[in-house]
Amino acid sequence: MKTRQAMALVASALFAVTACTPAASQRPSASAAASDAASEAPSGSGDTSGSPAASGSAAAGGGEAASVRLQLQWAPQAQFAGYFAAQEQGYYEAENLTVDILEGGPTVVPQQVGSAQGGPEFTISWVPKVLEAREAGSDLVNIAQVFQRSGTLSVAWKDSGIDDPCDFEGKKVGVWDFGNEFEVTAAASLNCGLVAGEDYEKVTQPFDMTLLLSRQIDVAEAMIYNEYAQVLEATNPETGELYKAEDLNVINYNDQRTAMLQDAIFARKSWLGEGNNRDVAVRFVRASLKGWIYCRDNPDDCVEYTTAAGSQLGPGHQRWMMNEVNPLIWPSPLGVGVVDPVQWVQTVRVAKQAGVIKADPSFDAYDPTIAVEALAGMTDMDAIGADFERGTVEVTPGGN
Amino acid sequence: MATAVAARGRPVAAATDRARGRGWSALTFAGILLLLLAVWEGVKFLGGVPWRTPGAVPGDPVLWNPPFRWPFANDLNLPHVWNIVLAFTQPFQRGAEATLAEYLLGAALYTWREAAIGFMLGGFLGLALATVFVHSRLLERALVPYVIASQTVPIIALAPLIAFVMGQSVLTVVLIATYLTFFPVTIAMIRGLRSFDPRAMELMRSYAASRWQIYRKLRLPASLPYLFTALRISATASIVGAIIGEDAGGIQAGLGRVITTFNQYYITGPEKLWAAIIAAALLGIAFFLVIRAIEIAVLRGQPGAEGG
Repeated sequence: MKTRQAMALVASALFAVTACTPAASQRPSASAAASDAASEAPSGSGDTSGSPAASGSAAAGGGEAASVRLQLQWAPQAQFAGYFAAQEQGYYEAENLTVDILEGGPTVVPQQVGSAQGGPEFTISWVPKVLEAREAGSDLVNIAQVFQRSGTLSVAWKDSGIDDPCDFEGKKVGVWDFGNEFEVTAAASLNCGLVAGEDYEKVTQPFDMTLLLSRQIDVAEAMIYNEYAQVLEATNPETGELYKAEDLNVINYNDQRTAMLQDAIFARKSWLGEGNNRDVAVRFVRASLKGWIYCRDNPDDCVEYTTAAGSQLGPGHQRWMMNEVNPLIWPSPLGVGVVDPVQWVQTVRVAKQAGVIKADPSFDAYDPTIAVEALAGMTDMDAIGADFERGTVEVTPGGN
Repeated sequence: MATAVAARGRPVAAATDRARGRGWSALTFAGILLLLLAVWEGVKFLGGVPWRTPGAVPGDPVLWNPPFRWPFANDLNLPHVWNIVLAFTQPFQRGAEATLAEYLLGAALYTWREAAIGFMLGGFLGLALATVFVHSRLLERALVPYVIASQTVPIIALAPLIAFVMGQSVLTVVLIATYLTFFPVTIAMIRGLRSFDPRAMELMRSYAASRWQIYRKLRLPASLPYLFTALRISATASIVGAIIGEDAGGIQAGLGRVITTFNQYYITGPEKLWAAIIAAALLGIAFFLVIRAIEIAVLRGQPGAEGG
């Protein structure tokens, strides 16, 4: 009995040691992982010491040192490249900020996490989702509208004959849940008088494109920078070749005038009111916007930062995403990060008609002064991108 | 002791019996695996899409054109077995040095660490609860319904809640694994800690043994077979908990996130998701076997230890 007990003790002790030791040394945050990985990147672009940002525009920064967290909407991907770039290029550091980038996932609701007292100081989310959360008591304020245009599409096979929301009649229309569906359903109802469930069948679509590929739905919702690319990266099992853009009809909701404002930086009003937090927010927004400017001018670097931040998708897919995200931001006629009032009004109108919100949001739902103040400290950079031109990117099989 | 002596009487015969038994079970296992693979590819042979060489690029010749077209059997829904195997050996993304197999191994080890910590916490919690319950009928009647109710709350509903309260960290994942682990241990040990020989209890009482002595020398040793049966169930449950918890906990390493990503990008590489699922299954089996090995070592020679 004694030896057996000793064996059991040794076994469980070994077990405990192996289980606990390495876990303690696991990377604590995405940002640490990003810098680890970047320092191993072959091109050496992760080296921030010699970059102009760290030395050149450091004068704009200063301010009291602060440690803040940024909640992303999803796993690391080029949709958030600007924040990775701000980290890697030392823009946050130059503003005396330590930024911990928290990634999202299918069960992470950023506007919920960001609304909690003691939650992350900054949150990336979509405007209509936050407006909805505000009606439920959240005090999140839009402090920088990064994406000026919507990336939402509906995609159908060419032979379906669908190339306008009015063609949805009698069809199976795939949309996402969780507040991602409003641009689609609003276009059908406002522009064509089609009601979901009566004039067309609304199918809740998982966050992938299998239903369209297996033709279980006639039209699918897709982000121009992600799911649309996935279709082009997929192999047609029948021919063994990649699907082509010519095989598809694409409906862009910017053209339907039901587009809603998407990725923006939010902060809690209660948090902004404490101490010098407003100044921290200005510095955070400034550094983040510089990151996005860097990604406009150096998309390849930003693809690398994103891959290094732990993206499980191939660089081919990230390159496509970077190339499609930039035109959603640039040009920013009022300056990057400043809300376009016309788009804001359209977002509110569509959100109300779609039943997302009941009343007009109060005037403090967005605070353009933070972004404007941030821009005032970076007049040496092109924050409008008037001559921005979309690049071209080749599709890689499997996005590899 | 009597059984132990009897067993020692014919050690050679028992050993060969056991070896033969193991040989047969290994053979049966391999046979079933082969049968499954044959059915898989057979379905594709009849109703799949045109067969090409593994890892074919567009334009490669068609090797076989199946007579039927069943949607569920096309390469998107049911990739070829050899393409899944091939996926394991290729870099997990372009430019990466690690193959998918190495990548999945790393992810599996990460998930296993989370699961193992949750498993240990859950094991101790389960044992502690059961110990309290067998000593207090009142607490048992009052609390066991809550323990049972706790397991009817779907973990996918609870996981975001735990993440919301605990923040996004490995701790969240560990707690979810703990949550799924303690229940089988509690239930089995309520039974196990009462499974002693009543005559032994009478003897202990006649010596005026304390509760602690009875627990230590009688209840606990008698409950070991129950404990290990529960731990084997908990081992696989803790892996499930860790995989689910990784999404809620915003953990970027680990199998949970890998499965989510490969699922979301399924159409661009169906083989990758299948490979990740195989990795998760192997991890569960491996953890189960580790517990089984500890069980055999600890219970060797004890009556009833051969079963299960």
